Amino acid sequence: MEIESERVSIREFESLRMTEGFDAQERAAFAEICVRRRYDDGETLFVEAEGTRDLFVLVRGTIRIAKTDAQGRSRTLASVAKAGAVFGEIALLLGDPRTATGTAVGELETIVVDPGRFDALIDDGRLVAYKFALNILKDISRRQAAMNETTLRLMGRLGIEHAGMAETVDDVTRLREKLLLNWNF
Amino acid sequence: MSSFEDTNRYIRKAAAIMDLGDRMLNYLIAPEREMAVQVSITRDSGRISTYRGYRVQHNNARGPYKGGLRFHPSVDLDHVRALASLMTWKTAIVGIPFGGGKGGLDCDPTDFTPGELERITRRFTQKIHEIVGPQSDIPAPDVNTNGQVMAWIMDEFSKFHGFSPAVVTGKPVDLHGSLGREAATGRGVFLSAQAFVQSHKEKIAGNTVVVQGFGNVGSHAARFFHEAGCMLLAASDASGAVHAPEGLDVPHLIEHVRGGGPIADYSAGRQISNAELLTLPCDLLVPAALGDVITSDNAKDVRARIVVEAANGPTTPEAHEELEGRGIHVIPDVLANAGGVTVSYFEWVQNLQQMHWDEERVDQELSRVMAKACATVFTLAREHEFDLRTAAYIVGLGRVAKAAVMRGI
Repeated sequence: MEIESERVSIREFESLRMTEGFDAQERAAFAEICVRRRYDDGETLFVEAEGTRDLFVLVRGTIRIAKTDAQGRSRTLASVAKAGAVFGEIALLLGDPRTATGTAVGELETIVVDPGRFDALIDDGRLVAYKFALNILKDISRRQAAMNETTLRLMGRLGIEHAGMAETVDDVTRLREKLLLNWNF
Repeated sequence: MSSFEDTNRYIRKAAAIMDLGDRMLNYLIAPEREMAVQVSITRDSGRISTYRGYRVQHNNARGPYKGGLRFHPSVDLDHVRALASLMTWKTAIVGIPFGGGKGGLDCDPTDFTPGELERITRRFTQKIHEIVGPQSDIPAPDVNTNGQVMAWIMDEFSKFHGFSPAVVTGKPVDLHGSLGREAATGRGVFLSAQAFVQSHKEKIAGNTVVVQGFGNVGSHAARFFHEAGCMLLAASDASGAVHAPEGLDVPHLIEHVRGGGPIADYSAGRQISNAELLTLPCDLLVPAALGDVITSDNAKDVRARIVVEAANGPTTPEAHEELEGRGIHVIPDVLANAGGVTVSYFEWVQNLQQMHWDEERVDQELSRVMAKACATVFTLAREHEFDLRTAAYIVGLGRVAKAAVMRGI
C-alpha cells in the first residue's frame, strides 16, 4: 500500500476554514508546506500514542477515528466524511502524542501540513503560520462550544443533575477522607 | 428568622468549619420526608372538628427517626421541621443510634374530653401508621402528650402491624415503658453541668443554681443539683418566681409544686419576676421552660457563670454570641437535655430485647452515655477553642455525615 504525495494547488485553500483570512500570498506560502496524500481502504494515517505531528485536512473520502478502551479494545469514536475536516491540530501545535488512530475507509484523499516546514514558518516569524494557528484555535473553540451543547442535551435526556462522574466521586472520596481523618468521633 | 433557620445557622457554621461543602450541607439540612394529614373527629357534642397533623422525618442515616409528638395550637410545619432536625443532631451528639423526627397536631387538648383525646390520637395514628414503626420512626411524648397518648398510639398501630410496643417510647411503665424515664431529662441536665464543672477541675458541690421553669425537667434537675450539694437560689414557673439568697428548701418546694401549688404562692423566699430571675448572679443558670428567653435584650444582664440549656432553644443565636463574648459558657440544649431521648433509647432497647431493666441499670447507663458524650464535646471544644455549641454540632454533623457517606447518599 503506497502513500502518494503531491503538491497542493493554491485553489484548494480558498474554501477551507483553516486558511480563512489568508491573502493570496499567504495561501501560496501555505501551499508550499503542504502535500496531497491518498490512502487506500484500511490504511492508517496516524496511530494513537505515537509522536508524529502531521496535520490532515480531509479532501475526499471517509476517515475512521478510533480509540483503545481500558480493556484494550479498539472503539470507533466517529467516521468523518466532511470535506475540510481537520485532524491532528494538537499534535502539530503542541507535539502531544496522538489521542486516537485514524484509518481510511475506502479511498481517501487528504492535504497534509508538513510539521517541519510549519515549524520553519513559525521560527521565521511568518504571519501566515500564526494566522493558521489562530484559525485552528478558533475551530477548537467552536467544537468545544458545540460539545457543551451536546453534553447539556444528553444530561437532559438522561436526567443527570451534574455532569462529570469525577465530580461526584470526588465529593464522596473527599468527604470520607476528611471525616475519618479530621472529624472522627 | 424562622425556627428552622435558627437551627440551620448553627449547622452552617459547623459545616463551614468542617469544610463539608455545599452539596453535603444541602443534604444535611433538608428533611427527608414530610407528611401532612388532615385529622377529623366527631366530638361528643356531635360537632365535627378538623385539625392539621404533621410528621417530619429529618434524617435516618444513623438509625430510625426519633422524636416526639406534640398537641398544641401552635404546631406548624416550619416549627416541626426545626424540632425534627434538632433531634437528628441531638441523637448523634449523645451517640445513640437514632435519626431525627418530630410531629404533632395543631389542636388544644384542654378542649377535649378524655374520649375525644383518645379518638383524635387513634385517628392521627391511622393516618401516619404507614411511615412509623419500631425500625423506621419512633414517636414519643412531647408538649401536651403523655404516656396515655403513647399507649393509645401503640394500641392503634398494633391493630395494623401486630403487637409492637417498640413503636413509641414514653409508654407507661406497666405497658412496656422504662423505669427512670420521668427524671431522665433532668438527670441529664445535672450530669452535663457536673461533667463540665469537673472538666475544669472543680467540684459541683457548692455551686449556686437558678432554675427557670419548675416542671418535670426543672424540678428533677433542681433535685439532683440539691442532692449533689448545690444551692438552689431561685426558681420560677408560669405564675412567678421566688428567690432566697440563703438557698431554697428544694424538697419542700418540689412537694409544693407537685401538690399543685404555683410558685407565686410559695411561702418562703422573696417573690421576684421571671425577668429578674434570669439576671441573678449564680454559677449555673438553668432555663428549663420555654425557648427564646435569653435574647439580645437581656443577654448582657445575665450574671451566671454557666448557662445549662434544659429547654429547647432558650438562647437566641444573637444572645449566644453575647454570652460567649462575655465569657459565659453555654452548655447547649442538644447536649444538656439529651437525657430524655437517651432513656427513650433504653426503653426501645428493652422492648426489642423483651427484657425489663431495673431503675439502677437505667440510671447507670444514662450516666455512662452522658459522660461519654460530654467528654467528646468538651475535649473537642478545648482542643480547637470552639464554644460548646459549635463543638456539639460538629460532633453531630460529623457522625451523621460519616454514616451517610458510608451508607451511600
